[in-house]
Amino acid sequence: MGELSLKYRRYLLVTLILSGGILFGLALQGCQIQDEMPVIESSTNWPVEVEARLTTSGTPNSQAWDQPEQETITSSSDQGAQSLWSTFLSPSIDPATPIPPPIERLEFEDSILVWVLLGSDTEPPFLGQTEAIHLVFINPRFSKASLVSIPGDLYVYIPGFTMQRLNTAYAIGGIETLRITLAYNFGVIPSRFVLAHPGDFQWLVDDINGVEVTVFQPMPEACAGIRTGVIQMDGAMALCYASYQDGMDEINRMQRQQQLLRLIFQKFARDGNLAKLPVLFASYEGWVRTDFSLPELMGYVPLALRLADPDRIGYFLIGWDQISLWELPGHSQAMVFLPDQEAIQAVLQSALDLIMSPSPLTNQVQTLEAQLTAAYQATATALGQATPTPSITPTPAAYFEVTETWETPTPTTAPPGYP
Amino acid sequence: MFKHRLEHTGKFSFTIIMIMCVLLGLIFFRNQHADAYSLGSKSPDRVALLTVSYTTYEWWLLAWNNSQVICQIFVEHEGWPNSDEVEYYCGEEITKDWLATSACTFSEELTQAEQCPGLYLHLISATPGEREIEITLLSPEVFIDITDCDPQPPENRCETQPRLHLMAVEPLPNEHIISVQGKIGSDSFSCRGSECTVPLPATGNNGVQVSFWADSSFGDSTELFTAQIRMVPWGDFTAPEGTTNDTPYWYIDILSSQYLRKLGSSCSQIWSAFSPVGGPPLWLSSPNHPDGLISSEPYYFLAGSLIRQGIVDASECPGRGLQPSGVANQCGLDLARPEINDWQNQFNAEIVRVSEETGIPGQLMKNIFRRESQFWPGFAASYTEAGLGHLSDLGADSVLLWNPSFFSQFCPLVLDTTVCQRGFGNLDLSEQEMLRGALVQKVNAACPECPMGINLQQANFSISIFARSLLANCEQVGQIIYNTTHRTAGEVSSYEDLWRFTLINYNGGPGCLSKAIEQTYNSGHPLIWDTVIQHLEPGICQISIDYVNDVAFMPNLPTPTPTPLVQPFIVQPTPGATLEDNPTPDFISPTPTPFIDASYPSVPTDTYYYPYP
Repeated sequence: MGELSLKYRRYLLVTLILSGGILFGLALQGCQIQDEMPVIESSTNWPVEVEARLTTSGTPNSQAWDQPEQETITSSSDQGAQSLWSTFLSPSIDPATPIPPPIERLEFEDSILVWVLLGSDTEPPFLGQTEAIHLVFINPRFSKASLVSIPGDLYVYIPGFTMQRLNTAYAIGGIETLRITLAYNFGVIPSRFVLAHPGDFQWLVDDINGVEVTVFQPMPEACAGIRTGVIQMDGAMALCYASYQDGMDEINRMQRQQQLLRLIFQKFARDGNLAKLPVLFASYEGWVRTDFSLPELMGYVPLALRLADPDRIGYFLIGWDQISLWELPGHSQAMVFLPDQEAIQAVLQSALDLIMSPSPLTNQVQTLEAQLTAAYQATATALGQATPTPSITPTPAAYFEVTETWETPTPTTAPPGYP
Repeated sequence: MFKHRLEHTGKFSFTIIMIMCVLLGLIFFRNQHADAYSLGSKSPDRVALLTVSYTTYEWWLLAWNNSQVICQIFVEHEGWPNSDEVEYYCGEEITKDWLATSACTFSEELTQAEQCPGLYLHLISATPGEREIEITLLSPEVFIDITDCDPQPPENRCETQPRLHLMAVEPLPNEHIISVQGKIGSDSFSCRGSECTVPLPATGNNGVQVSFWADSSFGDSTELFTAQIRMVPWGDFTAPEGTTNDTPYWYIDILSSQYLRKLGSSCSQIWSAFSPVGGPPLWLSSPNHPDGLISSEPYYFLAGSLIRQGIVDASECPGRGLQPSGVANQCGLDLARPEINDWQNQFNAEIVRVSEETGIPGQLMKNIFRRESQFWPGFAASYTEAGLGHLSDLGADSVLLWNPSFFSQFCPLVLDTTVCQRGFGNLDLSEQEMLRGALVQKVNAACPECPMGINLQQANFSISIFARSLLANCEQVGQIIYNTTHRTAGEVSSYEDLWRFTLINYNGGPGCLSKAIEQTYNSGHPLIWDTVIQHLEPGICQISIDYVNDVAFMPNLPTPTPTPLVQPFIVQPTPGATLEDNPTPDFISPTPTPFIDASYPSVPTDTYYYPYP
């Protein structure tokens, strides 16, 4: 009977922590988990009825996706996304430059996860441009990930619209338009997305008590002047550091964003900070737009601990070798980046190759797991529980087949001259 | 017992857990986002750099006697430098010497160049170059309109519930509007693309503030536009079981510079004040056809003027149809009625045109002309008042000071362009006087050489000037109220009362109005007509009340007005004397008398916050 009581109390504890946190957040902030604020009415520039397969539209540059390949799409939750591969809307506005054909679709295993991390330049509930666009490829089986940063000023075809900067796709048509734009121009459809706003990013950094950033290039004109060296950044400074752009040098900005993402992720995975995930989720869900659910995120905690092992995430970017500066026709003298499709494909393939090559985990993962367990125990102790057992104990999932016998060195994927 | 302990423990745990959840929630809960963060990136500038080719010509100014270089001159045009350019580089004295130098012509006495006096120019080099010129590009804009209804002024009544339609325009090629966003009151809205249709909530009489903007693919946004929108439902919307015989209506009014339809009144926008639901009162109406202004008032002064000018033959009447004061007697009036009717309606078309152009109510203008001149624009008791609206020196001051758009058009006709660029408030007093006098003279329709002594073209022109004068007075009234209350005029006064205040301002001067407004506000009374007039000072300020009442009066029946409202030009007709066909009155050139009111500055200063666009 006493054992039954203990199990009952453990069950009660875990359930209530999770549900209480979620319900509290939902009650106070409203349920805004999904994509967008309520858009009252939109009269978009491109009618849906113009939808047509590019093969039948007669567009010289058109190219159809092979139907059989649809079966190999690996996005776990993308029933609807499969149709994206077969149809692309024709342009509703004359483009400033010929529309390139859709890029060849990336081939990878079913188990590979593809997410996209977005950073908006505008606070909710308003729409803005996504000044940060990062594709994340994750191989849960090998506990490896690649992050590919894409410049927002990349001039791409937004299906159904016209040629325009990639950073406008989300504002023009929402996450679905961004997904299909990524499909057309990068050959991949993200199954999940996270859109953070300036305030979200700032508070996240503050919530983990800032980050210690090694600045390699002085930024005297930005953020009240940032010198080189190791600098402790709070949320406001980190936000400025991540968003500052000198002219058209968006590549440098992407490198800084990658640097911060790496630091934030590592810090978040340390010291049992992942134990805060339910509370943070409830706190941010009114602001951060995502199609992740909390239970789904909790399922990724063990994976996150393993990815925090050094060198398990490769960082790639669409840089100067993959793009070229181009001035838009007319008198505005606006500059954009034109993509080199082959070079971009090569970068994406490198990112995939990285996560497909197994490498051994280090002991640090065990340390992180222990820290997380301790964090839950501390929480439970504070609640007066004797021996709590957190429900999200990072027990490796069935698909984890990590072995430490491999000797394959972990490739260094950081860009040249970048730490 | 054990069960009881278990229940007790469970309740305790539940309580503790809930408290912890609440505390954790409070720690991480974000009540609201801050409005602005210091993003490192900034919007791109809408400028383009044009490269322009040019040639720099270097000239040396040398002395004839020793060929010493006195100074260097650089110009970017072919041909000799002009005297201004020489003076810029060499100074006044050297320029004088150069200008005084005559050509060096050899003669028997003068055989060498060194013997010549003075200075000469010599071209040294011509160097081509390029420079970049920054061109500001057009900005995107957002316009608003009403959809699901075609409201017709002045009622602006809809039989279906109207919605707000926003349309954004991106002038740059290959750039696109990506979103239109804004707030209606505190409710946000956001639309993808360049157009947006949003439902409007029912509002109170003061409407609701709408702010809106659009984002461009260029990376920037339009300016933040605003509108004041009033939508008042009319009818029984709450009938049980939805059965009612009332036809529901929606009265819609929009005040915004971005509104695509005709504005009810431009002063309405200046004040952010709506006219009454269903349209303004008759004296503030704006008929869209001249027939809407037709009147047949018996004007004794006008009749007297027509008789004096020989337009009406009243020789068979006693006193030749005139009273000793110069106005018509009853007999003269009766004889002149057809001409009076024609005369008072001949300006209707121009009034309607100007009303549409400026947004000043047409009926108001006509009523003021009735009160000021009885539509005789020639002359008045004071020669410093001219035109149909008797524009005075004070009125001219107002329009020049408070209507910068008009000032920028009129000033170069009188003063040098560079002087005008300083703005009216920064001109010398003499320059201001000159402008005022020129403006009054400009609207003076008196014309000794014209058949009737009146230049009708000039009279029509005076209507446009007068409307702009009223606009300036609207601005001034809005500023006076803002200075006192720190609120927009529409927030503290009604549309009708604001027009009455404007007439006080026009007739009595801003000193009268500002003191009355200030005293009324300080005494805690609302800024309505009945309370404000109690604080008007005796004298000219109090007299203005009658002026306002006269202007607002709309006669339903022609009521004889034996006492003219204006003091006419006094003539003493000699019994039996013959009036000349083309009388030539002795016109005195207007002598501007600058209006100075110690209580209110005639020149806006930085201390006066100006909240209007």
